[in-house]
Amino acid sequence: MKTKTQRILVILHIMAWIIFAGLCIQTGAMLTSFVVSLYNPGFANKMYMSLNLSGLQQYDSNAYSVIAGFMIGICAVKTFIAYLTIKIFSTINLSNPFSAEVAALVERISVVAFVAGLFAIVAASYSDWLSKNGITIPYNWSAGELLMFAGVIFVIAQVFKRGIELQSENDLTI
Amino acid sequence: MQIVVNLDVMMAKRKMSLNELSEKVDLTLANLSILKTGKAKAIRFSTLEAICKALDCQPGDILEYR
Repeated sequence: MKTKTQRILVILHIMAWIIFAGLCIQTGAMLTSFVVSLYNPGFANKMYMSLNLSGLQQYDSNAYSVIAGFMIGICAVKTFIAYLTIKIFSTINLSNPFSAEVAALVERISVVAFVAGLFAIVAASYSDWLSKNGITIPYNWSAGELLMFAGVIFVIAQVFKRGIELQSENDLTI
Repeated sequence: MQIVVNLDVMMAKRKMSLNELSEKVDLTLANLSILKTGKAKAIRFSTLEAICKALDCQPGDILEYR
């Protein structure tokens, strides 16, 4: 019989797959609409999720490419985080969950989220600088959230590592 | 400086094999081997007591601080 935690983990595994698929679609759609907008400039006002970047594109096509690149990059990094989460679910052995592989994956998620947070900070600063020049970019970069997420996951990774040490000590207690 | 397990020395003195000790103290050969090779991180008092009883010795005969 499955415990409550095991049932929750099964649900989370399914949710991780759904989120991963959603993020893949989002990244692909953003990338496609950006590539299309490069050849068809009028497309910049109806990018993914009704994002209107036509003002930015008319102001400076390089700035438009940089901002779109940041959006796509951050979205791709979020997709990679979802992929790592799925990988945790496929790697983890619930009868012996504290393994070095899982700890490495959790730590990797925190590092990737930290990098995404740094990207988002740079993008938000650039976006602010552009808005001072009269160009508004209707996009929430969520840099703080990403950095907070990275910090929390990093702490969890360290606790997890300590768990592995305790488990190995326990296994070697005769 | 470390704790050294002299289980093999005591077993040789008592002329007891690992299999025989394993049966007497109710430990698996794998666990006894971990203990004998010094890979163990800790030893339970109950295990130490069983080994001392089987080998008719004191804990100090098995564990040594160098």
